Amino acid sequence: MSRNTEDLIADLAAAAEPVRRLAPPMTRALLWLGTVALICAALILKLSNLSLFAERASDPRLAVELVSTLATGVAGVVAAFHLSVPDRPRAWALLPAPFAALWLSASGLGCWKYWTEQTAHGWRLGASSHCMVFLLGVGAVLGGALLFSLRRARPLQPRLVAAVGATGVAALAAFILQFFHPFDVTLIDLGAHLAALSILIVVISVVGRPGLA
Amino acid sequence: MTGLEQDRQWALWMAAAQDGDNAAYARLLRNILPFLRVLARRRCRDPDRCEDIVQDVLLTLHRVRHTYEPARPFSPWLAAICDRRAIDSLRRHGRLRARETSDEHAYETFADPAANKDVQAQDAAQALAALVAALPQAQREALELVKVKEMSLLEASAVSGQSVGALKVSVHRAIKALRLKARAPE
Repeated sequence: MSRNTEDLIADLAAAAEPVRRLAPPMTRALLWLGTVALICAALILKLSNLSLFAERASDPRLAVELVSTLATGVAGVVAAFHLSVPDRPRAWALLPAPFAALWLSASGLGCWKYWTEQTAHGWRLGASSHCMVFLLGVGAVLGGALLFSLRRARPLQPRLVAAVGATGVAALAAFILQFFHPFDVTLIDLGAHLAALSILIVVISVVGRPGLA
Repeated sequence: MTGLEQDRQWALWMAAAQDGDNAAYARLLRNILPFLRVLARRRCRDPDRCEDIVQDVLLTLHRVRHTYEPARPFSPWLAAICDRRAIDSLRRHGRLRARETSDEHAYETFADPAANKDVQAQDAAQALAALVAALPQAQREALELVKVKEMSLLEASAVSGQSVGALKVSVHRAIKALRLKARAPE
């Protein structure tokens, strides 16, 4: 860069149009989550079997899994909005970690509980492929919506913001899946879920970096 | 002015700049320059690269100025941008250094071969000077007086104290030795 700094300042000052201030990250995150919650609630009420879901959710282990999945999703989205502005600490990226650990532990415990049943009847592939398609589809839509909302902040670390946001979106997709998943996960199901979530996180992170920069 | 007062002043100018006040924006950008230069110098020692980082920060500040919240302190917001841009610059520099090598002659090499004659002539002169320096004293002196300074044999004889005949023999032997050394593989 060989330009004179004084000339650059003069050019920037001359080009400075009024700008619309970005709302605080928590406000933006809550607005985004509220909109998604409304749309998803309407779809779940219309399409899912809520009585079956309520019966399954009475199992404390599944209740813990559900709450931790939702918490991971909310924490990932909130962290991504905070990381998208320059002066928020990078430690926000760790916010979803404890909830994600709880979520994976609860899912793993479910697999362990049904391990004997599964091995007695052979590996049950069940509806894993449908789950994968569901997770990828819902995750892609939510990921696109999140990247679109984060884009206005023009984050200085687009890769980190996209990766943390993708983790949140993947968890939200997994939470929504529970309303359409009337059985406990087998080890194969869990593997399929994790594969779908990993694909989501990698794809959204890769696409998100140039999209946000 | 204390640091806190300065930060408040910068925050006010930034808020005014967000509303389209160009004069406040220019004042702000000029006022933050010393602060930015100090931050940039913490990350790199090369003054030119520091100035590049400062200019990069100014451009980034302009691009993301809508993300500043006037209720929050301005300096941490600015320092975060500067830190990020300094790290990006260091990474870019590291990548360049890993991929590229520096060749001082490369800057003087042109597509037209005729344009490179000066460089080749300099190289040849340096090589010849090294060969001449390796000659025996009497031969080197005779060669310099008769061939380089273009003195007559009588003048060279008066300067060096060698006879005319001895000078002729020394010049002949020196040229022969140079030819042999120049043809010999390195």
